[in-house]
Amino acid sequence: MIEAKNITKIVKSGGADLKILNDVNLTVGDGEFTAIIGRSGAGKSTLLYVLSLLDANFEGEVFVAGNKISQLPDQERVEYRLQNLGFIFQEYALLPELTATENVALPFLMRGLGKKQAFQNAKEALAQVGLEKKTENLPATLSGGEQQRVAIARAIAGKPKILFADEPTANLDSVRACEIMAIFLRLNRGGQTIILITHEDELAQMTHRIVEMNDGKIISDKQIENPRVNLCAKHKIS
Amino acid sequence: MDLNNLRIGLLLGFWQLKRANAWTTFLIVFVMTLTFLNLVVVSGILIGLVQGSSDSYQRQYSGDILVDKNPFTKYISKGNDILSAAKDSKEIEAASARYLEGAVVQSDFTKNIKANEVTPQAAATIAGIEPVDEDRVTGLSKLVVAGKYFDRSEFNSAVIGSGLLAEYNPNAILGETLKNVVPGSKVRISVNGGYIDLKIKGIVKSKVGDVNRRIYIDRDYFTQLYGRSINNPNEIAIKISPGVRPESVKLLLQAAAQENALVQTARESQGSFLKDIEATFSLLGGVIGGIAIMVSSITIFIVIFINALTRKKYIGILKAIGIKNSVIAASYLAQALFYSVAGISVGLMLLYGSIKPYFDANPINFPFSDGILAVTATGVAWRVIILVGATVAAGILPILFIVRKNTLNLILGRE
Ligand SMILES: Nc1ncnc2c1ncn2[C@@H]1O[C@H](COP(=O)(O)OP(=O)(O)OP(=O)(O)O)[C@@H](O)[C@H]1O
Ligand SMILES: [Mg+2]
Repeated sequence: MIEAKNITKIVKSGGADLKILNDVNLTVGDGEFTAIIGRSGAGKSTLLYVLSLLDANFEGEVFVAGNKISQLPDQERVEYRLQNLGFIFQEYALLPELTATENVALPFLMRGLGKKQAFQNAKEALAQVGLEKKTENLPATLSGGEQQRVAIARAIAGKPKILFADEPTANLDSVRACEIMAIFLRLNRGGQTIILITHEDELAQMTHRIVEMNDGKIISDKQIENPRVNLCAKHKIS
Repeated sequence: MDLNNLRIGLLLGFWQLKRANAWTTFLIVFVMTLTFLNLVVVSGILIGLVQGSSDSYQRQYSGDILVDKNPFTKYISKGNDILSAAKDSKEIEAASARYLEGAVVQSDFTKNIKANEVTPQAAATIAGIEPVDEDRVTGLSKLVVAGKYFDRSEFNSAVIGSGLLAEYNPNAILGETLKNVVPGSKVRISVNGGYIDLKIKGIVKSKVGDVNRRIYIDRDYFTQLYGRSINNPNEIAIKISPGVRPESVKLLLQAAAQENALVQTARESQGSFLKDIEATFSLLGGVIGGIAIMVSSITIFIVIFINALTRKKYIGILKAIGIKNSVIAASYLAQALFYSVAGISVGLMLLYGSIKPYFDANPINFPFSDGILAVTATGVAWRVIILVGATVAAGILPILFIVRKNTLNLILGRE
């Protein structure tokens, strides 16, 4: 369970103070698949950075499984992310000099695994997202959808407590987007907690819960009784 | 920093290097190679100039040990005691006693002199030597560039240093050199108020002034001409056997010479002049080397800094996926280390594979010495350590600076 309490973030913009997060409170339970939607500039990404410890400059507190994780020093946040959190960026965010396997293996190595084991785990993670044939490719030789799947493999490889994804399908066509969603749905069925930002209503409809933001505030928070998981059924990746 | 972090850092650095642009890598390594050579070769040549001159002084003039007359005396006393001690010692391979007198020498003296002409003349040192002994110590016969060396005891014949001849010294002023002297010509030397004519047998050429401005004649002829005793040489050059320390031979000779002569190793006998030049040149070499190190450090700094700046985003991503700062730093450290080690390795191969052999075979022709390339293993080792240290420091600095920045700002390219 992740809990954000009274999150406020103020930035300076043109000399004036701008509240880009305004007293946000959000609790996401274990195994929940939550979508955050809202207009561009609403503060979705900003909130996700706060929750995932990528940002440290905010007021309020963040708890994971009851432990306060906000205000940790920089290197402890890095370690916490390694052990507990997965993050998927809109722009794939792979290291260009590393092959798919090496990109995914890196966090395994950091957790202390030997090179052989880390590579094996990385290949298994890549197989989970349907990339068993592209393990030795450099990112530049992969399509956008494939790169995003490598990024997902890297994020989920360590079985994080919470998986964050910031518009992971924004740069992809609807077929690729559905492939990605299918992976998320499968992970979630396996118990993975996921917080996903999306612009696309269709994708949001597949989750359990839709949180809508505007002007740095949560303006609505709806449970979905019947997630429409079948919207993408035909693209499911086994 | 724990070992696992170091291991991952090295691996990450290796991956990045492996897929870096080959030309960029080549260029950086090339710059490192040049820096290393600059560091070794420039100071090596500067010091080599002096060392070359010091080497030829020892080889062609003083031998390993020079027994000299005491200051304020005319000759060595009891030279025979010293020579027989030298003969008896297994540590001494050869000894050559030299007997010296100053003289004025003339050439072209048979020609009819016109009213406005003067006979070419020069001041020279006449050296009486035992030709075989001298050759064994200094290899004087190998310095002959025209004509021949003495065969056996020859009276009335001389071997002349090229420093006294105008043909070998186009820039010398009149009054310093003789003209038209070739093997077979005669020169006239002043002796005890009178003169004597010598037939020139050969011409020797050396960069050591003391060798190059002498006229060599046979010892027995010399003692007869000047009425000098064989027991009173002016100097005795000693060549020691291979592997023997000069200091121990010096003691042995001192015991034989007692107060009758001054016994000095080759180095001591050179006086402070060469040592001062050597110190000056090595300081100069140090300054030039220091600048070379600074330039290469700045180069590496800029290369790594720009590389890191363009990779800020990826550094941020690394932090975002849980890679510690120390690992990221180690990956760049590995790259800086690779650049310097690769550059130095190429430099070492060039140095010992071609540059050093080249200079050994073709010494630089300086007026006072044959410039060799003075490089010692320890000197090179020190420069390697300094260069690696400097590049590693220069390579790691920009990373320590960047890696500290806020993860999010790095990824989003803020700041
Ligand atoms: N460091 C900052 N300095 C100034 N303004 C900022 C900063 N970070 C975010 N903002 C502003 O805060 C607002 C919210 O940004 P955020 O990226 O969270 O929006 P978003 O909801 O993710 O939008 P989008 O859907 O376009 O990604 C935007 O107007 C943005 O310009
Ligand atoms: Mg956003």
